[in-house]
Amino acid sequence: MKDGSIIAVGGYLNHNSPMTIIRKIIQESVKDLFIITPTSAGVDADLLIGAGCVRTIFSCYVGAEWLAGVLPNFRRKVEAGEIEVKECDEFHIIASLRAASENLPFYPTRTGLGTDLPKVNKDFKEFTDPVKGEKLLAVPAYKPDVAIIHAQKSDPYGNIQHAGSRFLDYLMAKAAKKTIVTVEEIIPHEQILAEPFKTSIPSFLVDYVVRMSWGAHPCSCHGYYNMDEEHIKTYIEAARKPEDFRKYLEEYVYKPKNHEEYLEKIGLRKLLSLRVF
Amino acid sequence: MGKEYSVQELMVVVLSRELKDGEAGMVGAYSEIPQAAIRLAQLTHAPNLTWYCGAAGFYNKKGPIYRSLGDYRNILGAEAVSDLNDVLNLVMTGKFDFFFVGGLQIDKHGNINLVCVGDYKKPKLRGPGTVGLATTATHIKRSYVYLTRHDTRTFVEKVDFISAPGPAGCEKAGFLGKGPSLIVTPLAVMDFEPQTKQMKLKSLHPGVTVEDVVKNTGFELIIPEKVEETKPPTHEELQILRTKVDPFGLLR
Repeated sequence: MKDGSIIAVGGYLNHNSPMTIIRKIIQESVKDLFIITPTSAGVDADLLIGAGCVRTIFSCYVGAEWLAGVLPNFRRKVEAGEIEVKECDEFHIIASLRAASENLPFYPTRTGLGTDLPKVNKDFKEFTDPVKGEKLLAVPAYKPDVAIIHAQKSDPYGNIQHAGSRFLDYLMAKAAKKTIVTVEEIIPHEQILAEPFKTSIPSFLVDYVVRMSWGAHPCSCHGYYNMDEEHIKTYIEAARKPEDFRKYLEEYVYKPKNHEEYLEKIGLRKLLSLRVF
Repeated sequence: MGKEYSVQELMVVVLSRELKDGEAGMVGAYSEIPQAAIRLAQLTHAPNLTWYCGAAGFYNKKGPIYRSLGDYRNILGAEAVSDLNDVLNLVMTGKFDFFFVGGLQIDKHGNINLVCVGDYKKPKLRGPGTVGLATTATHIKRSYVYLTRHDTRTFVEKVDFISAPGPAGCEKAGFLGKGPSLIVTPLAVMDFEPQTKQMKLKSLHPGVTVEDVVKNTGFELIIPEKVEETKPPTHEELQILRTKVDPFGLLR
């Protein structure tokens, strides 16, 4: 990942987000990222924005549902004009990724017609379909340099198994030039062979696999643990003020030397309590 | 408001009664009220109603409601799980009958805004974003608007940004979707006057007056000569809602 890279972030809202990679990007001070969110984003995008890693965001929602209608860093930086939003509907993100996955320049859609979206997002171009003459919108392909995904299982070759919703993870892996997947568990190759219908991303699309148990914390990981609501509330509180947010970053992102230290900071009791379904 | 039920429970019951047996519905993220309305309808008058949740992609889940529709626990007891790419593909088949919509602002034409308050370039308030409203407005036959606030900040003369067009805008654009058919708030139920396609008061929740609604609406609402009272939840509806749909009391 380099300054200015286009990054597709997997998961959805505060579920299955690749949070260890997000924290790593901040530790490495990568700047000017163009991030593509999995339609709706949560603390993953807000954390990157708050830490100053993002120049442009292609997203249709940055919030935490009942905990925060809109997340604070996103709100503050957009209101101050410090980041660019590629204003869109959730289908525009999917359309762009579909085009990117097929190496097409754009994807046609009716979504966005009759709204103000094309007025503020000049990348969307209205055109007349050459077959039937209908007015349509062209959504450009933003080709991700890297897709970052958190899934449940992988074999040593990078055959991925999801154990819950797959969100846009597969589409992102198809669209991106490189795909990095963190997983809760590494499973034997034989397990993949025994149940190939469970493979959600085939290994040739995956460039790197990293075992990261609890790698989505404080977001949920389907089938493994629930969202850490208490931590996300702490996050939202901190993100409301830049000085408090700096303290949050220091405590949870910069100070832990590795993922294990981060988990120690969260605490065993808390982590185990999230396993209750 | 009576003590026997909460205002959210009343909103759920109002929406639930609108849903017809045999139809197919779609719900987005953070939608406790809509998902409860669908489950209640399934357990009362519409057993053959089917539904998809856009967020985590689950189909016809049977269990209780959770706050986040992205929550894994929703999938347990569902009939199918699709990824988000497939869910949007399904929306565009045009086979869904209804959808539910929230918003930062709504105007008398039923246009909805989730993007910003004030000028887009220098917003007074930046909202969360359009989510999927531009897609569902275009491709799903009708929508229900549920708003947890009824005030002049939400009900405005003209929205600052159109995330999804109202009935007139949908007709003009020639969409399959006809736009919002009903708006439910903590005070009242509204629909649209068929000719002008402008918002009209339909019923007042028990204890609410026409003046309360007018005072909290930032545009001239069409007030018919006779305004009905919203029928409160029946004992049966409330019991099913509390024991089978919302046992954790999220709506209370």
